[in-house]
Amino acid sequence: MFCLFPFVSLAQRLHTVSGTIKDESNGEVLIGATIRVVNAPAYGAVSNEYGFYSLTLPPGTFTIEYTILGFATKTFELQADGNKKLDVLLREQSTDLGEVVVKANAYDKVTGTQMGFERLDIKEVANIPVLFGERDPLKVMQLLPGVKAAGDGNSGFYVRGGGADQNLILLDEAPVYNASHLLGFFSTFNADAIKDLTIYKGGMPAQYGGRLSSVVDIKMNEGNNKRYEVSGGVGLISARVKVEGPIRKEKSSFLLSARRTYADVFLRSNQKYKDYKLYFFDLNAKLNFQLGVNDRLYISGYTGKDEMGLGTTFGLDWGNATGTLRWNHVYGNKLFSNTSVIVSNYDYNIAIENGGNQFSIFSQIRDHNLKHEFQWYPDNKHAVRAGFNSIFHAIRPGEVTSTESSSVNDRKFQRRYSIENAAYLSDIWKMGDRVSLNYGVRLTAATVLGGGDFYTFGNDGAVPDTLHFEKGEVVKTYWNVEPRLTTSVKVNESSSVKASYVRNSQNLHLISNSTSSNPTDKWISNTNNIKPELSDQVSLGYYANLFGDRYEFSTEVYYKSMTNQIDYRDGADVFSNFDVVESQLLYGKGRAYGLEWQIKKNSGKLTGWLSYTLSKTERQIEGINGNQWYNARQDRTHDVAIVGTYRANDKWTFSANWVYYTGDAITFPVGKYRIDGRTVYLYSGRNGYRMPNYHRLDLGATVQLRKRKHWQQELSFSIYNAYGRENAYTIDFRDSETRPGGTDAVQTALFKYIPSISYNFKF
Amino acid sequence: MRKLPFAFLLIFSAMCGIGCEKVIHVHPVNPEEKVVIEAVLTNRAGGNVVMISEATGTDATSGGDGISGAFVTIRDSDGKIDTLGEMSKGIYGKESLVGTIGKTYWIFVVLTDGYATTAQSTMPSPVPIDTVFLKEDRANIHSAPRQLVNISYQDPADQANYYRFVQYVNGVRENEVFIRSDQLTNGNHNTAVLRYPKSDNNDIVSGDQIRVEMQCIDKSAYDYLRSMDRGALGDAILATPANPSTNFSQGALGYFTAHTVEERTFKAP
Repeated sequence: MFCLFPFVSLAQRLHTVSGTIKDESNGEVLIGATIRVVNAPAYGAVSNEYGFYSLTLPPGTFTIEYTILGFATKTFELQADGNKKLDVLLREQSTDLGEVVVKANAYDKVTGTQMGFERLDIKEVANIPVLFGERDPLKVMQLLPGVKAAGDGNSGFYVRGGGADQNLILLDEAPVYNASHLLGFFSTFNADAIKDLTIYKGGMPAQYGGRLSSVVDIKMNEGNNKRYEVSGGVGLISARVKVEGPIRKEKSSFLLSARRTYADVFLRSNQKYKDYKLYFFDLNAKLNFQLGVNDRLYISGYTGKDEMGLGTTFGLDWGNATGTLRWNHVYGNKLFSNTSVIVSNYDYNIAIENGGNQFSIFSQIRDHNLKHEFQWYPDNKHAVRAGFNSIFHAIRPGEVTSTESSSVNDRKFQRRYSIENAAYLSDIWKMGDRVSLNYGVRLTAATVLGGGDFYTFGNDGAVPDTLHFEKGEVVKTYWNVEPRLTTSVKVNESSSVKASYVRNSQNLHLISNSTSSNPTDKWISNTNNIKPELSDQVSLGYYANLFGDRYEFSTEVYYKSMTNQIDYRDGADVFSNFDVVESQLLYGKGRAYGLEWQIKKNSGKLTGWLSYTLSKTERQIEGINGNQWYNARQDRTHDVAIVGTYRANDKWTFSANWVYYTGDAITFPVGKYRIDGRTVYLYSGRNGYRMPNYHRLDLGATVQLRKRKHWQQELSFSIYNAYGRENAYTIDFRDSETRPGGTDAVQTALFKYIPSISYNFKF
Repeated sequence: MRKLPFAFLLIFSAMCGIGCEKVIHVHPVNPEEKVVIEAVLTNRAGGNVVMISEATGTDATSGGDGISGAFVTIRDSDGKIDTLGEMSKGIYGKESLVGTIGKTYWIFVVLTDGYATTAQSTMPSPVPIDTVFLKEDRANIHSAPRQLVNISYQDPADQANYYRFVQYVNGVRENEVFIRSDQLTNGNHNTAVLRYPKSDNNDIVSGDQIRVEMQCIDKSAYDYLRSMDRGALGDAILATPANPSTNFSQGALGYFTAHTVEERTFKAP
């Protein structure tokens, strides 16, 4: 593979300037800052996810400009007469003042080499109104083209026709298996602790892999390394607090952020609901240490838990925990390396008491993950990445334990073990002033390990044969080669065209029989029967900065095909013998295609965007819908979002967003009959009908209260669903009470006018 | 019980002063013609009935009538064949036919237009009722106390068992499907609680005449009732809607069950 990289022979002696770019106020590293050489535009660099950059120049005197959106540009005169280290601090600047237009931002869609991605600046989205006023980056993300909400008020999402489990959600590189709280209404990402969120819908770089439809890469804040800072807030349903500060000034810092809901306090104060338990909490912590000039160490962790319960009758708790240890090292000034050791855990426990039987069901997925990566900036034309990633998955599908007096027997379903190994190599190659190529390959080997029994299955789900494997024995290894390619061509200074092809594989699968997502949906790994899911996506995009760069226009068209898609058989017994879960499964393929438009305004008093997606998503699974193609549940023909924030003055900011989308594809009965004295519905075909179309307007306002030195406060008001549209959450069918013999379709709507108020402070 | 998470959702939204239901308009369609057969064979005299009808559209006020003139036979594993007569429109039976424990039965139905279908069911060994009693229960959305019927029995360890319970209060049958398997409780003493959705006026009160039936059913009947309960009764939240897994061939709807029956009657104290 290395022979494919065309390296320029070094005719003259070159010098390298390298360093880290940080926020002057708090020492947080700045990701994606652009380093431009004003008097030699052919040269340039971009800071990586740890703020590191490396710029190689011929001898001479250069004017170097460091820019990133939201910060004042800094310029240095530099004599390139030897390798130099230059750490740069940039000062934050609000975008609505003056006519500061940041050109050549690495995340600028016109000039960047990446396509199919969106980046959210957490500060930028803080004013967008959301349900219950809980700032939630995943919900703001749903307002982007190609990203669809999984339901009213839900933080789950679908990207370009993929399922909810086909999104790789990374928090400081650790996969998060269930990113939602409270049946999906809140995400596990407390906006206070988050620095940056980037979603890749297509053209995923080779360092990411493991899910078919998207990568959501979330980075936690590092913590202020200059001064102590306390911030927090009290909202309608939760309270938050964040503490950060230096451990050793400018050398190391910490951050601790916590959030807990208190709705259950109100719930219990009502006599009727006193036995109910309903809350969640999140805890984020991060430490980072600068160890000398060339080394940096980060330790970050997250834990969160949901609990709901009704007396001793029923209890369900679930939660994620992740831990990441990362070590950055710079070799010389062109080679950057990062080593990560990651642990990730998701588990749930259901406790049930029924007729004197008390028992619980526990399930868990736990990952141990090692990553090592080199980033090499050999010259001005290439940025090379190479690395490997090895993840050991241990899944406990279900373990039943009961009390002594219970008639329920203890039972453990077979634990499943697997290893995902991946190696990748990629290069961003600036082929000239106009053309660049971002190409790479990811090689994956997914190994299913024993011990335990594996089975062969007939077409009807019967088990003709059982194969036994010892612990550690290899059951099967699935190899996949995943090419990743994006090419971009600048048409002129303000517009570009890009095209990409990517293949992704997925070795962990979430199976769900319910029409809504549940914390108890099961993650399963490949087996001898369950094969890796594969997707191939081609996309083409056009990007333009309009009206003197005040507007950013982008449009992308994509086609994606997916194989080895999994669904339950009709009438599957989801809770039955999980050791032979495959007897309940069917396999098939999927396809998704669409067109996305977005126009965005980044500067001025009024900022925001308008996005529109036209798309189609289908599945074809042997044994469902008479083996014909059918609309996937998340198939939505039209999807519109309008998002606006208006900064009226230093005190007041107003915001609004409106969304509209075609109702989800669902299955309605086509007839009915009577069995056992009650009405049973007759179905033909899957997802042949539509929910009513969805639309909603949210309004928000934020007022800055009187500022004192180091003491800021604000009040946020919002109304979710301002005009009270009753959007269908579910549609049930029942015998009509008003028309004898008729059937009523009854829709349940959840959220209608939800006003909220929250108070935030910082000192 | 299984709907509790959803109940939480509704409470959660109700707390916020919201969550509302309304009837919406859905275009009715005319479905393809489908034959529906509900066939029951028990170990009691007069306990067999086969009802043959037609599915209707969702908004049909007529139709769904019984289908006359069908030729219905039941054959057992010894090769003995009984022909069932039409007792009233679409309802077939034979007084003298009584199921035998452990035998497998095949039902054959041929309609006048030549459509034919068959299904198979095995009558399991009966498990006797141990005790039946009323007990206070609070597992409902409002945590309101109410009396529920409990049935205890000793599950045999040497076989897979499937149970179904039917409850009548003052002669009115409770529509909730009460089924159990011994998958997690094999070989143990069990108490089944007949928990049904609470409404304002369906609590069992003192003086009510209660009759409960315990049926030992086979796996195919259990699978039918389970998949019907989860996916075909009009609730969208439990599972992807789908026709239940029937044991009939040729696309017929409904099911055939050969099961044992034991019943108890008592007055609520």
